[in-house]
Amino acid sequence: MIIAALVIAVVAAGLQFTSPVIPNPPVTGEFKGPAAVTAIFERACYDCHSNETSLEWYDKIAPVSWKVASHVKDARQRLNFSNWDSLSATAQLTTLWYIVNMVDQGKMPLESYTAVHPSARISKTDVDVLKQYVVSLTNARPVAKPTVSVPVKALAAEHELPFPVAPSPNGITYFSDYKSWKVITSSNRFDNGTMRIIYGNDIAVKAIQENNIHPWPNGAKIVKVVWDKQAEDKDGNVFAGDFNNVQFMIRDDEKFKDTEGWGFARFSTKKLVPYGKTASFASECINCHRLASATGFVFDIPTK
Amino acid sequence: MKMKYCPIVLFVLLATACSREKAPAPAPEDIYNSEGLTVITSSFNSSRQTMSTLYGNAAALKAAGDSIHQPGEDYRLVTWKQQSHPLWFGSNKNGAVTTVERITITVAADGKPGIDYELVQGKPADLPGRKERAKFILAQRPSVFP
Repeated sequence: MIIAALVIAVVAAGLQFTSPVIPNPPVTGEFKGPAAVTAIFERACYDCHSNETSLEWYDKIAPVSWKVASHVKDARQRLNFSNWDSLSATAQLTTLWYIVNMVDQGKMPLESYTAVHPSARISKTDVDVLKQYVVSLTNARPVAKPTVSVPVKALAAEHELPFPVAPSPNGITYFSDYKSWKVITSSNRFDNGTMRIIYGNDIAVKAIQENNIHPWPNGAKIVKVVWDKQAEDKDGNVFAGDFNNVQFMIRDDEKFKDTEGWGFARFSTKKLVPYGKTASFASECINCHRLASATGFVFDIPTK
Repeated sequence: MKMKYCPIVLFVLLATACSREKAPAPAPEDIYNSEGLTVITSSFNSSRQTMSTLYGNAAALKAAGDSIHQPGEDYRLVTWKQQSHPLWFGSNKNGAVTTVERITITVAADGKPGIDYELVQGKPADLPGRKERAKFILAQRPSVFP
């Protein structure tokens, strides 16, 4: 027994020489916001999502330290508050909404982290502070003059486009027969000023009807058409304005297994320019869609 | 023996209780059966907290928003309650259907096109007069689709 304990002790001590050091590179342009907001980010996010990582002694013991180092590396790549100014103003706002939603759903900070760093927990009050902050930032943005929809009736009625559309980098090609599918839900967003109609093909509609969405069946297709909002009229009505983009989700659990079985594509502006330079663009899509894991990674299905 | 499982059961219960993931229940009954009609346009009303989609047949899609109408045009304005998106703070989405209104262009007694308004579903008290509603529906212009 004593020998076994000694061996374990020696191995554990030896492991410490392999323990990685997490460097803190210089802070180049950090996030600046109201004190209450900055305090929440510093307390709950900065250990992994900044160049100001401050570890506890127990984070530095191998083999835990290996996992911590790899987490910090990944986390900084995804979001780094120390290089915040490297994002455009639009990307900063989009990222803030994403952060608020990750926190609101309890996906961040990670439970495995808060379990050993309880001071990093984010309370309901903290979430409300963050929500108020993003809403105020969004409302403070200069509002572009709303464009009134100029209908292109010929295009609306036809299923054939008068110009060629390049495929998405993952091979998904644009199709327009969704206009004869059922609308499964519609939404309007106060974070980015758009409104949407979401169509589902028969397989998708049947999956919703049978609550067969964990996972969704192969062949399910969902198409979301996005418009900018027009200005509100005197009675409070807001109509769809300019066409913004159209987004596809195609279910094929083999072909798209790296993105939870969903193939994503987005075609923007009336010219339908595909989004993404390489097929890896879809990892951005699924990272956000993981917030909708409760509904099979689809945000917009009809819900109670 | 039974006591041995208690910590495991407790752990599972705790783990489930701690999970904050929201799992909204699907509501397939909120999908409107458009019966071959296509979307003309969509809107929401911030004061009434409702969302609407105007559907129509091919003739309606062609004439929507115009001042001249022809017999055979068939429009449905479906209105849902608006609710906060359960999975994304920053978005609203439709809830349950509140009203379905239908307009058909018919041939009136004098041989000219007539406007027939029908409240297919919902309470009339929710809406202003038929004439106003017909005017509101027929004024909607088609959205730009790719």
